[in-house]
Amino acid sequence: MALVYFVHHLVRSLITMTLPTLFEWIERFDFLRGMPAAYLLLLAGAVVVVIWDWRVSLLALTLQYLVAGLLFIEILEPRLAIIKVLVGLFVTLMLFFTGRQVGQHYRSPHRPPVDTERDDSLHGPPVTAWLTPDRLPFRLLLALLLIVLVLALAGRPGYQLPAVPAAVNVAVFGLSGLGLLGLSLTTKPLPAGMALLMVILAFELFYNSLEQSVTMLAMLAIVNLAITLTIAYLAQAHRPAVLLPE
Amino acid sequence: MFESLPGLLLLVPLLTAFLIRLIPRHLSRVAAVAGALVALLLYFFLVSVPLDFPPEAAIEWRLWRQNWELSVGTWTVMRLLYVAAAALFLLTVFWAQEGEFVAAGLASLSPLAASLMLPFAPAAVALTLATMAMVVMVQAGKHVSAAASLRYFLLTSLALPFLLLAGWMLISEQLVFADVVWRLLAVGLALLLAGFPFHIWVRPLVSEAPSLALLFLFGLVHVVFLVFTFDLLQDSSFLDNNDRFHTLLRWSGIATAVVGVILTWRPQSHRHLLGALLLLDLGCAIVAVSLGSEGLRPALLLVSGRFISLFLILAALRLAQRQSVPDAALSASSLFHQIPWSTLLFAYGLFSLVGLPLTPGFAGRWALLALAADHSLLSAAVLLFALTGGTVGLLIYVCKLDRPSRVTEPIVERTLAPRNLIAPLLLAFAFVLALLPQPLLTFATYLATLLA
Repeated sequence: MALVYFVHHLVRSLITMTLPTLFEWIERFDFLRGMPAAYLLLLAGAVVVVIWDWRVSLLALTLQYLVAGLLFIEILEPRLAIIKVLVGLFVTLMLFFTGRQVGQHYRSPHRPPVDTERDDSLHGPPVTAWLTPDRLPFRLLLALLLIVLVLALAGRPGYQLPAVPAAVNVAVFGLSGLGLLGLSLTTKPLPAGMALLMVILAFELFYNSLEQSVTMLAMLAIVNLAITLTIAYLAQAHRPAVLLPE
Repeated sequence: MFESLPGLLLLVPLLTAFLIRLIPRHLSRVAAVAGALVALLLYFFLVSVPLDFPPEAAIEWRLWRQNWELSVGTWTVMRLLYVAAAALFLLTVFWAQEGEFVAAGLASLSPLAASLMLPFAPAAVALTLATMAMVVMVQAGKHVSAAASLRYFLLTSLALPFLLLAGWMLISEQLVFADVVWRLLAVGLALLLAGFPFHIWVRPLVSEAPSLALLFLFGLVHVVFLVFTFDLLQDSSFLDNNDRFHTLLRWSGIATAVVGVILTWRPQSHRHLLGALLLLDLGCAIVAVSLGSEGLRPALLLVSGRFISLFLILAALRLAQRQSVPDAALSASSLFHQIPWSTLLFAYGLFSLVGLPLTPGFAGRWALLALAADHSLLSAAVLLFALTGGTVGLLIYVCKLDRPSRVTEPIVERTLAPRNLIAPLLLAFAFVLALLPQPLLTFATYLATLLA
């Protein structure tokens, strides 16, 4: 009887518990709005491009969509900006399931020799397996150079995009540059897809400051989801025959 | 039913594509026939639309917060699209294709039709969605490498941001954007139409895609791309007198054609050669686009010539495979002695794709050269030089087909079996079309007038 009463009381508490509203969430992260969000976006974009492991890249991409929501609030109504974030989260969810299915093929191709005495199930794979030992410095250098170039140019008057705040300007140039860099550094569908999504995100940040109709918003959301579906299809197709179950 | 025409043209192909995808693989012929019936159904539905008004007028609908327009010109293009798609689907009954050719083809018909009826921005989105359906068709479910499909997908998807931004600037008609918009548009169109330097997906894709997928992509889908492009160029006052835009596009097309010519000189396989010649033809189509509204007729002739030439080439390759000639032997010597008619058909198709006289491809090539010479003698001369170089490279390749080999292979294609008559019949048909191109020319002129 006491147990039933306790469970009833607990459920009732959960139902009546009030969650923060959208505006309360925006207020909580107000300290990140503006240039901090732009810098975070650049950092997350660099992680997507530099780190080989799809799990880390996908986490960075998720962070990008969340932080980009703060920049979308600068140019769109909050209710429309949240749609962008939700679409981004759907996209990363779809990529996550894709990565889980084909992930073995997207681990670093240059993993260090397996230590036969080390039990990965207890200790997990070595950290270096998450990186690309031979190409990491090169990718890191390129990403850093690009970020420096973007930060140098984005502040100049001749490189100011029309109708966008300064933070969005930096984010647009940074994400599009990093996305194109990511596209040129990979031949595999999943990393290439993440890079393409970064370019599209950069484009949306600029385009939605010019064109704010709900119809185009919906169309771009469909494009994002369709791109993700196509990437998932190609990632599945790209698995080498040796990885397929017999 | 008439009031919901756009909705039906959008939803019916998508729904049936989904249903056809569920049909088991061993019933692929049933799927092919079903797909063809759906495409024909859409064709007859369009034919039933009462279009008794002048070509410059159009029917309008307001659907899903968008204005949809159907003019006589776009109505004609859509009918052509559905009939050709039905024919290709039906062909898969005899010419099995890997993967989801019919389902992906039907799925792409929906956004292609939408792109012909919607304003510029939503139309650009629809074209991007169509290219994604094409990715599925081209990859064909193969679990080997997705490099070719990925490259095609990435480059055509990147066209969307450029086109949308340029489209917004054109609609806003603000002079402050005048210097930027033509650059954005040139890059966007080069990405969409495989212009230099964004042509790099063509040859790998031609090497790996199923045969009928190439016909669908470079025939049907490219017609819609061209109609979309010409529609945009005609509607924009910014671009009317913008010589820099037209010049940039023209030289991108010429560069694409020149790259194609260079690649014809040492092809590693027949598919590589086909890819190179397609680059040449795509480059010519871009040059036609750069010549303004007068370029629409040559562009339509080029695409129809390309479709026929591709069909001849791919049919010849298919017949050779059916004759149990190993694929590797298609580049080997003594091919002519083994399968003379298929080899002749293959060679004739290649010459037609280059656009030599007495081939179906000549009409479009000649129309383009004549128009290009009116605008710019230099570009016409470079184009002619490129075509000559392509012809020489092709002749060298074709002559290798007749080199006698050391081992005597059995003669295969000399009996009067029905399948051995296909190649001669196709050759005869193509030759008659080349000698009597008037129906093709008349139709291209008529369609160009409707669309202009």
